[in-house]
Formats: sequence, structure tokens, C-alpha cells
Amino acid sequence: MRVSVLKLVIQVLLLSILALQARAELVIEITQGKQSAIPMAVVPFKWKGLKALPENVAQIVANDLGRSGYFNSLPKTEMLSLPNTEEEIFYRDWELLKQDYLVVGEIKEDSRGGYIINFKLIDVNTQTALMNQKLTGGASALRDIAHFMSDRIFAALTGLPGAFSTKLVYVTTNRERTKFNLSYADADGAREQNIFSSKQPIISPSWSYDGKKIAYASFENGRSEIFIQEIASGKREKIASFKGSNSAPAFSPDGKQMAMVLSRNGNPDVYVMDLASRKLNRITTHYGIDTEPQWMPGGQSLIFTSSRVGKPQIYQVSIADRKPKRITFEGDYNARARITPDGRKMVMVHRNNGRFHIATQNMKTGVLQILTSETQLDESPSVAPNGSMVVYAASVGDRSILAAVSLDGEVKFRLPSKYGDVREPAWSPLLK
Amino acid sequence: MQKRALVKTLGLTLGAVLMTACASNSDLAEGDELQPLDAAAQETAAEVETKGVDAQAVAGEQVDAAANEAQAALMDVSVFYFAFDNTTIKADSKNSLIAHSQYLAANPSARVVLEGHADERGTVEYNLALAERRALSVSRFLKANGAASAQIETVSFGEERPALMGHNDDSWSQNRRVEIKYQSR
Amino acid sequence: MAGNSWLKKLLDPQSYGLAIVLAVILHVGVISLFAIEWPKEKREVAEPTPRNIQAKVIQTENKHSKQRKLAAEQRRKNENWKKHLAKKKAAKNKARKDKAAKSKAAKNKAAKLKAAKDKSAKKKAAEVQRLAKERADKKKAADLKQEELAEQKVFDDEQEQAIMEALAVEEQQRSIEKAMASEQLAQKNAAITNDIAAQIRDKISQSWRYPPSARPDMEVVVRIQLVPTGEVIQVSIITGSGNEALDRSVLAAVNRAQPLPVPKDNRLFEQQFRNFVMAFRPEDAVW
Repeated sequence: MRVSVLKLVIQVLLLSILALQARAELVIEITQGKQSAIPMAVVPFKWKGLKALPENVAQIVANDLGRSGYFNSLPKTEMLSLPNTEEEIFYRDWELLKQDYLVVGEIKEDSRGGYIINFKLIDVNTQTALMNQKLTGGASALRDIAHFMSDRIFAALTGLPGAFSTKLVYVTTNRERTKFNLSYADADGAREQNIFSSKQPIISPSWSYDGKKIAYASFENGRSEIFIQEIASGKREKIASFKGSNSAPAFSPDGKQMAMVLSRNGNPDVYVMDLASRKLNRITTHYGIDTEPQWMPGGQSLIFTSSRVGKPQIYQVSIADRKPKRITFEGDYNARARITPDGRKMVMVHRNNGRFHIATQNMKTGVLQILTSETQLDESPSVAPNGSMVVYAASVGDRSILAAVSLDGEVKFRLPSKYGDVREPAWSPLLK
Repeated sequence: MQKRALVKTLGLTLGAVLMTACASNSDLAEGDELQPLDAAAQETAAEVETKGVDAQAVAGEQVDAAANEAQAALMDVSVFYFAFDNTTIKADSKNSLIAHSQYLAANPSARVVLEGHADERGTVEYNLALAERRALSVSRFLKANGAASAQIETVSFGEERPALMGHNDDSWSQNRRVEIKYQSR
Repeated sequence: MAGNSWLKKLLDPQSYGLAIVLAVILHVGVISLFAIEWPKEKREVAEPTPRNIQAKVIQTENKHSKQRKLAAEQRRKNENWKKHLAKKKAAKNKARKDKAAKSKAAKNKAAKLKAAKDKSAKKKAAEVQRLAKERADKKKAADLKQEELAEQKVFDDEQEQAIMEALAVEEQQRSIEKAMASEQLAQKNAAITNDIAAQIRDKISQSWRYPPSARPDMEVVVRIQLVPTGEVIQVSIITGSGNEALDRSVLAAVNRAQPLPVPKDNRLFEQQFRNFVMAFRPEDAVW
């Protein structure tokens, strides 16, 4: 009798333990995925107008997204069907092509000769529309509309702001170096126009954070002086023409100050000028070269290039204590650093085996990655305002061109240019 | 710091001038850009002068002419080259630079602009600074050898005005340079 | 006979003595079974309890792996001192682990020793009984005529006692075996669950492309409902990351990966896989 009671006790005990185990819910943890481009298709838009459209909107969107490095745009020739509305989509086609997202749309003419574009962003997996928008604009605005679409789609799918509606400024020169232009164009290199021309060199264009002004160094008076030019009006103002060289201007994030390099005391050093009072604050004092200052996000410190150890390396200095701290250690040539908008990575010119390439350095871990290899004498890297791409100048053949590379080094492309050598690109901030 | 360096420079320069004046054969380190003269330069200069002295026995006028000719020949050289990422005046530049210094010392109204240049390798702004330091290097050398500060102006063009357009070692070596340009003789 | 008297008392079916002792022994046995074996088991059978899953998925196709390798090499070059530190730490850890293993071994040994002791105690008891019986036999032979009836009664009592005890021991043995058997089944099921979970993890991991805005400290937790074919009938977000693009990438990854691997045993499917939770963390996000 007692024994059977005992037996029961044991059984209950064991069963309850097993039951506890069995009832614990299964949780599977995944800590690794892929960082590869998302496959998507932008299907050519329906257009029933009589005359041809001035711009191929779907193609511009497909190019924009493909060039960002985060998407693989399916070429039109590989599409199995060409739907223009959600109802026309045969999902099996796109599943077969392993496409995650689909953009379909149509363009109509409105009564005033402008255009109406209806488009949908479709999630192939859930077979739902993530976005359904109607955009309108004049004939000349088609390209702007296309870039705007790209921005919206990019933001929805990546969680980052799109940077396709942004601009570039850069310097173009003829081979004889007798004519220099400051050029202004779309981020994809289209719609180039000159905003300043000179027979003397122009270098180091850089944007104000509100995207309304550009600062640069011009040699128009026989030596480098710093000018600020308003983009809309073209109005110019000379900001620094001290004895010696005045160059490498960089607007502070709040737009009130400008970091610059002056050799008024014989040797190039980094200064910060208060733009309202024109008062100078000397940041570096060293017999070596100190140049190429760039503001860190927040505007409390600068990074700059210095030859104080003999070869150029990147240093960081806080405006408050002015004590430079070296931050690059790999290789004997690291210069002209730029910071990604989130402050996580630095992009710079790095010499490796005698070749100059664009490299990134993780600000936290210090890990260096070389992004470019096909081009030579890579210089002047400038980061897109959403941190996705870097535009830079490089030599191909005996010409200087602009090229771009995604921040992971995966996607590379070259920008078109009509005129001679193209140098010193500067990517605008996000424009409102 | 800079003042001290300046004093040091002057001290060194004076010392060096004195030493070379005493025809010392001491080997001065190549690459020390603060050195106005080295033994080789002194010897060459002496050679020129020696020729002058030999000729003096023949005709006084000719001596001046020969000396002027020699100086003119040295002053014909107005472009001085540099090694990559380097601002040190090369040994073979020094005779000519001394001739320019002497001319400036003898002609206080003469004015020069020293144009510094770099090759296209490396970054634009770093090269602007590098070229400026090359010009400053030459300026210090000229001043150490008799030119006055007021006679010299420096300007840097960085990599913006190459002498040769090629993208190779030959072009690059020609592009890393300081050009002496006389504004008035 | 003093020893015999407490034994007798203990074995008296009318007292609670035996029940208490056996209960204590069994509790200690069962508890120690779990207490001692658990850590080892935990490593082998990670699935049943959440938060214990540490298995990493080895990716076969990753275009960044080369770069990462390169980056890793550079990091190695760059931060020798860090590595040195890590090595030191690892050595320390190893020492600690070794120590833990040793203490565990010692524990095991103690347990075995205890088991052996228990066994020998039982043996002793049996021996005591045998001796008692012998003695009884002898007595019976000597005083057969005078005390036969009385002796017989005592003998019968003792016999009965011995049988009762043997039965109790047998019963105890059977219970333990039964417990062991169901424990083994649980272990087997846990192993299958573990295996299927790893397969699911692999498959979804392969189809998960996270967006560039993903950061390593973000987490998306989803509930997945399956049918026995492995088809996903519903996937819903329990806890979002706050990053819509990342949340969507998780839903897409689950949908893309179906049909998911499921166990053949339908009962196990119902228990574990009809409805389960997945936590997604982009720990290797470097974009």
C-alpha cells in the first residue's frame, strides 16, 4: 500500500518535470542574415501619349535603385510579363524570377500638358501594395519626379533616406588647364551646368549643410582664396584672403563657422572662422602640414590630415581642447577623410602598394577596408548624405573622371562627363 | 616654438656660412634643408672664382664678364625639382639657388615670386600644402644666402598647374617643382 | 540483535519507516539525476528552454565573407594587443572551465561512490538476512522438537518480511526504469526538436536579407504558425524592432523560406512546431 503511494508520488513528480519541459515554447533565434542587394523589378510604365516621353521614368528609377548598391534592378529583357497595374500582376512570374519587390505604374498627360504618374510598390511575398502614389509635374520635371520616386521607394525598403534628388558640384578643366569650371549636376551626373568659370584653378568645393551655398578656393587673384557662393543667385563673397594660401573650406553643421586651412603664419594650419564676425580661432599649431579639416557630426570636433609623423595620417581634434589624436595607423598615406552621416565610418584616400585608393575605416573598431581597385590615383572622396555611396575622382586612361562606389565596395559605376578632366566632387546634403 | 626654430635656423645658417667661408671640408648632411651651402657647392663656387682669378691676370674687364656669364648661366636655371612627398632642396639645385641669392642681395630692388607645385598623386589640399612648403624651403634658402624677406613672395599651386600632362614618373618628377619668377630685375 | 531490531522496525509494513526512507532515497536519486546530468544535457539538447539556443549558422554563400575575412585579417594586424588580451581571457576561461569540469567529475565520482555505498549497504542487509536465516536454521535443527511451532512462526514471519522487501526493491527498480524510459523519450524528442530548429534556422537565415539600416542591437520577434507540410499559414510580429524595413525583411525571410522543415512525428509537430516563436537579430550587420 505504502509502496504504491510512493510509486504514485514518483510518477507525478517525473511527469510534472517532463510536462514542464514539453510545455516550454520553442524559440528559435536567428542572428545572421545576408547583406546583399535586394532583387526588384521596375516594370516600364504605360504611356499612351502621342509623342514620346522626354524621359524614361521607370528606367531612371531602376538605374537610381540599382546604383545605390542596395538593390538589383531586373533588366527589362528578363521580365516575363509587363504589368502596369496591380491587377495585371501574375505573381508566379515574379516569384519564379526571385524578385522581392515590383514597381508598376502608368503615365498620363494632364489637361495643361503636364504629366500624372500613378505607381505602386508591390511586395511580391505578401502580394500587397506597400505604396500607392500619384505624382504630377510639368514636362521639364519628369526627371525630378523619377528621382523623387526613387527616394520614396528607397526609404520604404531600406529604412534610410533616399539621396537621388541630391546634387553634385565638381570642377572641370580642359587638358591645357587654361579653363576651370565649377559644375553643378544631378547626383547621377545628368543636367550639368557651370556655376562659376575661371582661367585660374578652382579647388575644394564644399556644401553648406542647408544645401544653399558652396564654399571653394579659387586662384583667380594669383593665389588660393576662399569664396562662398549662393547657388540660387550666384552671388559670391570672398571670405578669406590672408597672406599665403587660403583653402580647404568646410562649413560647420550649424552653418555659423567654417573650418579652413591658412598659411598666414608660414605653415599650413587648421583654423575655424566665425562667419558672422570673421574672427579666427587657430586649431592646430605644428611645423608639419595640417590640412583638409572636416567636421564630425555634432560640430564639437574636427578630423584633419597631418604630416606631423612624417607621412600624412588622419587626426581628430576637439575644438575645446585642441589636442590632436591620431586615428589612422594602417599604411603611410591616409588623407582627406570624410565622415558618414551617422559617424560610424570614415572614408579617405589610402595608399596601398604605391597605389592611391578610396578606403573606409570603422570609427569604432578601426578596421580598414579598401573600396576601389579598378581606377587609379583615386582622390577627393565625398559621401552621399544617406551614407550609401561615395563619389570620387580618379584617373582612367589619361583622363580624370568621376566614379562612385557603394560603401561596402560592391557596386561601382562611373559618372558621365562631357568636358575634359573632372575633379573634386562634393555631394550635396539632402535637399528639401 | 616657432620663434625658437627661427633663431635656431639663423644660428645654424650663420654657423654654416662661417664654416664654408673657412673652406671647411666638413660633410653636411644631405636633406637638411636649413643648410645654405654644402662642401660641394662651395667647391664649385670656388672653381668659378678661381677661373676668374686666373683670367684677371689677362684683363680686368673680361673677369667681370666671365663671372657675370657664370652667374647668368646659373641663374638660367629657375626650376628646382623635389622628391615625392618631400620638401628638401636637392643638392644639385643649390649652386643655382646661391646664384639667385647673390643676385637678389646685389640688387635690392629685384623681386621674385616662388611658385610651389606638386605632382598629381595624393590629395589636392595636401599637395597644395606640400607645394607651399617647397616654396617656403626655397625662400628660406635664398634668405639664408643673402636675399631679403621683402624681395620674396611665395605662392602654391599644388597639383593644379603641372608642367607636363602625363600620368607617369617622368611627368611627375617634372611637376614636383619650385619655379623662381622675377617680377622685377 | 540491536541492529536487527531497528531493521525490523524499519521493515515493519505497519510503520511508515520504509516509505519515508525510500521516498527520501528516490527523491535524492531523481533530483540528483536532474541536478547532476542537467548541465551536460543542456548542451546537447538546447531547444526546449528558450534563451539557451546558441547554435550559430554557418553561411555557405555570402558575398561579404571574403571582405569580412579581409577585414578580420586587418583587424588582427591592427589590434594585436586586443587579441593578446582575448587570448589571456580565453586561457582564464579555459582554466575556469577545466576547473568546472573537474569539480563536475568529482561530483560524479562522489555520486558513484554514494551509489556503490548504497549497493553495499543493500548487500550487507541481504547478508544479515542470510546469516539470520542460517542462524534460524541451526536453531531449528537444535530445538526442533521443543520449539518447532514457535520457530516456525518466527521463520514464516521472517520469510514474509524478506519477500516484502524484495518486492519493494523490485518495485522501486521498475519505477526508476520507467522514469528513465520516459526521460529517454523526452531526450530523443528534444534532440529531434533541436535538429529541426537548426534546419529552420539555416533555411530562414539563408533567405534573410536585412536592410542597410539594420543595426546589430535590433531585434524582431515573430510568431510563426505552420501546417504539417511546413507551409507557413501565418507569421506575425510580436515585438517589432522599430525599424519598419527590418521588420518587413523578417516577414519576407520567413515567407521566402517555406516550406519549413518539420518533424515526421506528428505529436512532436503539434507540441513544438505548429506554433512557435522566432527572434531575429542582425548581429553581423555592418552596412
